[in-house]
Parts: sequence; structure tokens; C-alpha cells
Amino acid sequence: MAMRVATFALNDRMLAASLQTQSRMAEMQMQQASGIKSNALGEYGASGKVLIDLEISLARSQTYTASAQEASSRVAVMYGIMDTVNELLSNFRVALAGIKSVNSDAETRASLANNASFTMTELGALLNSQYEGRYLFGGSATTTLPVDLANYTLADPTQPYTDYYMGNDALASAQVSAEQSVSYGVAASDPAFEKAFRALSIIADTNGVFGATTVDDSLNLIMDAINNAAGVQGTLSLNAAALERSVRREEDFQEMFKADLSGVRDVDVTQVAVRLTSYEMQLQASFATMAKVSNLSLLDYLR
Amino acid sequence: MSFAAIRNTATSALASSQVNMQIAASNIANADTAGYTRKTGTQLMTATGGLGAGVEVASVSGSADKYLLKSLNAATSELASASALKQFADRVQALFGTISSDDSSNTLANHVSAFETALAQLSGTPESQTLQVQLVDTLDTLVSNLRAISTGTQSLRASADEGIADGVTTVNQRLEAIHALNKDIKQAAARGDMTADLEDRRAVALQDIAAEMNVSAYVSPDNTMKIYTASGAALLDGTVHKLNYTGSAFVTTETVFSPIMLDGKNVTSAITSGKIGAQLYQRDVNLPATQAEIDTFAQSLIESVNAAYNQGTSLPAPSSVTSNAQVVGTDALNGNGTFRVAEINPDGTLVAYSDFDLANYATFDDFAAAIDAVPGLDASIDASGKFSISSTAGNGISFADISSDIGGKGVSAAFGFNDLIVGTDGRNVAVRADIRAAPTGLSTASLSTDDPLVVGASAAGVSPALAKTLQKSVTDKHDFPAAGGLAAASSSFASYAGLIASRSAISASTAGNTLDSKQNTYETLTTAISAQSGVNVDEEIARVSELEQQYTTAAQLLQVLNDMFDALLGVVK
Repeated sequence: MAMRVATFALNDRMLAASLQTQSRMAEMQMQQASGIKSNALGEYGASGKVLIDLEISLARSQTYTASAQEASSRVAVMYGIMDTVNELLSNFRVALAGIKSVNSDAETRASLANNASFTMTELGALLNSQYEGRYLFGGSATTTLPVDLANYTLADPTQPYTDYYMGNDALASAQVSAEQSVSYGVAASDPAFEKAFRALSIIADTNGVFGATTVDDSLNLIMDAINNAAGVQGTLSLNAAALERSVRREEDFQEMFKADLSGVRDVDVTQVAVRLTSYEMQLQASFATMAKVSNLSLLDYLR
Repeated sequence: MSFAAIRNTATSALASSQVNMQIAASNIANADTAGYTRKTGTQLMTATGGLGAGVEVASVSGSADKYLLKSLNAATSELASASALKQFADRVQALFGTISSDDSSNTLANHVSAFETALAQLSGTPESQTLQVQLVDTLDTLVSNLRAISTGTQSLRASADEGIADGVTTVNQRLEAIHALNKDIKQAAARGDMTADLEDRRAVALQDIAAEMNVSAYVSPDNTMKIYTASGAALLDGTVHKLNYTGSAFVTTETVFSPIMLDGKNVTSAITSGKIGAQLYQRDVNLPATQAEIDTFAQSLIESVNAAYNQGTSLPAPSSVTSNAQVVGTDALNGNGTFRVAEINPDGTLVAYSDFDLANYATFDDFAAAIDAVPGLDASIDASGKFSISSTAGNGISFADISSDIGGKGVSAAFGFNDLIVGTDGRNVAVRADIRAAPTGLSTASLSTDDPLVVGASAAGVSPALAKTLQKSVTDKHDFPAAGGLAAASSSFASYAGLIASRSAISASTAGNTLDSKQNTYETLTTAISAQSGVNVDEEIARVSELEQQYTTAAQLLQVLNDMFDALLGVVK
């Protein structure tokens, strides 16, 4: 403990201390206004890395969720279309079965041929559906019509025929987590549709003149097509389930990340308000002391 | 005892209290002068023949404690150094961006994140022109940020260099001043005048030098101050030895700075503290480390992204491609596997194609000749080493690696036929100019590797797999070599960016703590010194009042003496 102090040095030190208190107050006011500890990374020290990593993880998770949701809505649309496709194929199968069981006349046969023709066109149109301006059933060739029936000429009904398909084999996939990529969708060249077209074309090309073997060929093909179509729908619904699960999981992660981020970065506004009050008091006291000390002078007492 | 003797004694009392009053007045006037120490007069009794004959002020002495001053100089160097380091650390970490309260800040790592997101969105809908524009945009932001950090780092180095030049000038000026003061003090001492004020000024000048660089100084018995650098080279010993330094006009990573010379010797390594020491550290160690880290990041990014992007082809494809890399025709090819070159129409259907088995070609010239030999393709290596392939008929050129590589890289990547990012390091990294100008020319398709390809059939189509490869090239972990202040690391690009930013953040935080502690040390010393030798105005006022009393009493003595003399004269009359 020193036994004497230099006057101006003392004043300077007291002033410096007051200014320091003032600057701490200003820092607290900034924290109160912004809700975060600081907007300079340096103020976080070692937890700066944690903060950045959390933000990156959060952004990645949000990307995965967005990808999954985009894929999800496309799958839902495809599933809906498959419902209609199933209906079409079923109706045709019923019509075929009807022809087979009853010995039908030329008119019924002609009408069945027409039916087949219309159904083919309708199936083609369904497979050419667009969602958000992209063709869904063409693989990655989303800007070209997947199905073109203009030149559909079936040479051999027993062999697969995919010349109508204008798309490609690259199915879409969504990256739904760091490790998981969900491949989704179906191409119009899938056996379900390929067989359906064959089945319909067999009847449509006959112009109403056909025998029992033709009906049997078509019926077998259409049954296969319906089974395959059920398989396609099954796959689509598995896709949808996988996508939904990943969305839920990533959303859970996002909650965690946000909470952790808040813990590292945010200030407790109440705590800051309380500390601000005590700093204010401290500042007022220091100003009062400075005033008092500078008023104390021997001169006043030497008169 | 004669009247004269008494008068002399009384007069000497008057004189000495006047001198003391002057000293007190000087103390009061200089109460707030920096470095001023309180002066006191040393009074001595004068005696004649064993009897007291008055008083004299023998000398005026200052009250500086030279050991405290020595500690203060060292503390001044440390404080100035810590202060400069903190300033630079703050400016560096400001280059990396700010934190915001909405979960997505503005740092380098967040820019990488945004690029990742854009890649993910593009891979979901590769044909979307909007998403292609967005991708190029986010990438441009990322590489611009890298360039900005590089530029900022170099300009900080430039300002450190300027600071060093200024510091050297200051040191030289103060050395001259101290030399002049040494001479004055010697002369004043010879004359018998007080030297305390001159010594104070000399101490202040030494403190200014200490703030710039660490020195060791001592005052020799003949009251001259000698100053040496930390390594023992003389700055001031009978003559002034000036420091010699010329700053650099333009600072880049290649700049070689001139050393600080003293009498023809390089003393740069002897300056480890003070402002100059801190600036040397920033200019030569810390800032280049940051630049090295950014360069490593940029180089890895360029390599990874280009390796993935070169697997793609644009639709419509360009009719002529030129390599980014420069090759020497006579160099060994070191190629393996089959490389496919195809001519395709704007819609991706095949015009013609050729496969090349790279093991058959010994040099780059051989390879170029083989491609050139194909009708419809022209290939050559020009004078500056650029390998170019073009279609004679103006069809689009497209490539595919069928398990081929040159030196471990895909063929197109090795030549750089289809780079997305160009540049060699953090200062010149940029998105390829034509892609930046027309983002919808982004390569999102890839050439089929089927064998054989059918002329007229679709050979190249929009490939989600390509976008996915591109995405994985950025989100997957990479091995980064040790660079700057970071050890070798294996992490994704965003994470590595976070590492770089957090290293400078931790530097800033540590610098802040160091500054606080150096500040405390400095303040403790200055308090101790001022307590011992600072002017207390009340103390001086009390002294003045005391001197007034002494003066009055001495004056009264003279009065009494006069009365006695008058009485004596009255008797004699």
C-alpha cells in the first residue's frame, strides 16, 4: 500500500476505470439489443468453431429436408397417377375377360378394339404427365416426352418392345442424409407399362377381327402388367415412407442444432438486464467519487 | 557574532525559501507533465568556525527510481506489442465475417454451406435454369470471399510493413534526442546546474523507444545513457547508430522484405517485442500463415470441384476445347485406360465417336497426333503448351473416362478441358469467365460410357448422377495438408473453412487476454512509480504554505535586527 499518490496520476486512473466500466456497459447494451453475445467471431474464443460447425450442420440438415420433401411430392404425384393407371388396366382386363367367357359378336369385338386403342392413348398421356414442368416418367430426360406412340408397331408380341420410350434409364435420387440417397420414381419403360402397351396393341391392331388365342395372349400380358403395376406402386410407397422418415429425423436434428446454437451464441436477456443495472450503479458511483476527489483541495482550507 | 553574520544568515534563509518556493512552483506547474518526477531541494547547513552561518540549497534532486523505470520500460515494450497484436488479430478475424442471430451467419464457412445447398438443389432438378444460375452465383460468392480475405491479409501485411518503417523512424529520432540530452546533462553537471529535469526528459524518450522495440539501457557513472538491442548491438554508446529500413511499396506473397540493418548487420531477429516486434511477427509469421491456410483451401476446392465437373459435358457442347493446364509435347503421357472423344449434336445425339487406349501413347505429342488422325477431329498443342481438340464440322465435343486416367486424375480433369473454377490459389481463384457470364451453360449432362454407342441415338443426357458427384465432392471429407497454423486435417470444405476462421478467432481472443494482463502489469508499475515520484498537488500546497511561514519568520528576524541596530545607533548619538 502506497503512502502517497500523485494527484494527476490518480485522476487519470480513476477516469480510465470509469471509461472501462462505461465500455463494458456499452457491450452489454449491444448484447441486449441484438440478443447474441457478439457479432465478432473473435469474442467467442474456442466456442467459435462449435458455433460455425453447428450452423453448417443445421444448413446441411435443412438441405436434406428440402431434397426429401421435393422428392416426396414428386413420388406422391406419381403414386396418384399409378392409381389411374391401375384403374385403366383393370377395366381393360375385365373387358377382355368378358369377351373370353361369352362368345361375342363382331360388334363387341370391334368395340373392344376401339377400347384398346383409346386405353393405349390414355395410358400414353398419363405417362406423359408433367409436374412442375418436368416429365415424371422419362428418367432424367425431363424435357422430352417419355412416351411417343405415333410409330408404335408391334412386330412380335412375345418379345419386349420399348421403342415407344423416348427417355433414359437414369432414375432420380434424393440425398436425404450424409450417408443415405433414396432413388425414387419409375420410368415409362418399366415392364408394367411395356407389357400393358403390348397387351393393348395386340387387340387394337386387329380392327376387331381376332380369335381366342389373341385374347389369351393379351389377357396374360395385361395380368402381368397389373401385377407389375402393383409392384411399382409398392415401391413408390416404400420410397415415400423412406423419404418421410428421413424428413422427420432431420427435423429432430434441426431442433437439436438450433437449441445448441442458441446456447453457444445467445445471451440470456434477463441476466444481461440485471448486470446492466449493476454496471449503471457502478458507473454512477465512480462518477460521484471522481467529482468528490477533484473537489478536495488543501487550498480551500488554508484561508 | 556580528550583525552582518546574523543578517547573512537571515538573508540565506530568505534566499533558500525562495529557491524552495520556485521548486514547489515548478512541481505544481508540471504536475500533469508526462514523465515528470517531483523535485525536492536538499538543504544544507552552512557553518563558519563551528557555528551555524545559514542555510543553502545544495542541490535539487529528482525522485525517480531507476529500477522501477527499467521494469517500466520492459512492461512498455510488452504492452505495446500486445496492443498491436490485438489490433491485427481483430482486423484479421473481421475478414472472416460476422455472426448473426438468425442461425445463418456471414462467415466463409456459411458461404461454403450455401454452395452445398445450391448443389443439392441442382441435383434434385438438374435441368432447372434458375438453379443453375443460383449455383454459379453461390460459387461466385464463395470464391470472391476467398479473394477478399487474401487481399485483406496482404493489405494488413502492407500496413504492418508501414508501421515498421514508421517505428524505425521514431526510434532513430529518439536516439538523436537522447544523444543530445546526454551531452546537455554532461555540460549541466560540469556547470553545477541541476540535471534532474533533463534526466526526466531522457527517461521519457527512452520509454518511447521501448514502446517501439525491446532495448536494454543503462546509465553509466558519468550520467550518460547507453542503449543496446536485445542481442547486444549498440544503438547509442558515445555516438548514435541509426536503424536502417526501407519499406516495400507493394506487398504480395512473393515480396521479400528488406531486413532492418544496424551498422551493416541484420538485427531483425533481435526485435521481439514492442510495436515493431509485433508487426514483424504479423507480417512474417501470422498473416502469411492465414494466407497459406486460405491457399490450401482454395487449391483443394479447385482440384475437387474440377475433378467432378470435368466428368460432365454441356448441351450444346462446345465445338472446340482448350486445356487450362499447359503441357510439354515431349513429356511422358503416363496414361492408362480408355478415353472416349465424341462429337455430339446439340440435343445430345451421337454424330461420331472414338475410343483411345492411353497406354498406346508415350508422349502428349503422340496422343495429340492420334486424336488428330481421326477424321472430323483436330488436335494440337500450341506454342504456349495448350492442348486443344476441335471438331472440323463444328459439332460439339464431349469426353468420357472409361476407367482412364493421366497421373491419377481423369483425363479431362488432368488437362482442364472443362474446369468450373480457375486459378492457382486464394488470390486468383475465380469461376470460369464464360460460365460466370452465362450460367445456363453449366455442364449438367454426361457422355455415355456404353460400348458401343449408336450413331444418331442419345449419347449424352442430363445426368443427376453428375450433379450428385459434384455435391459429394464438396460435402465429403478431404485430406488437407498442414498449412499455416493448422495441422493436417481430414474434414469437409465447410468444416475446414470453420477451422481457419476459428483459428484466427482464438488468436484474437488470446490476444485480448494477453493485452489485459500486460495492461495490468503496466498499470501496477506506473502506479508504483507515480506514488513514489509523482506530484501531489496538496502536498506542494502544504509545502508552499510552510515556506511562506519560514519566509515571514526570516523576514521578521531581519526586522528585529534592524531595530537592534537602530537601538545601538540611538545609544551612540
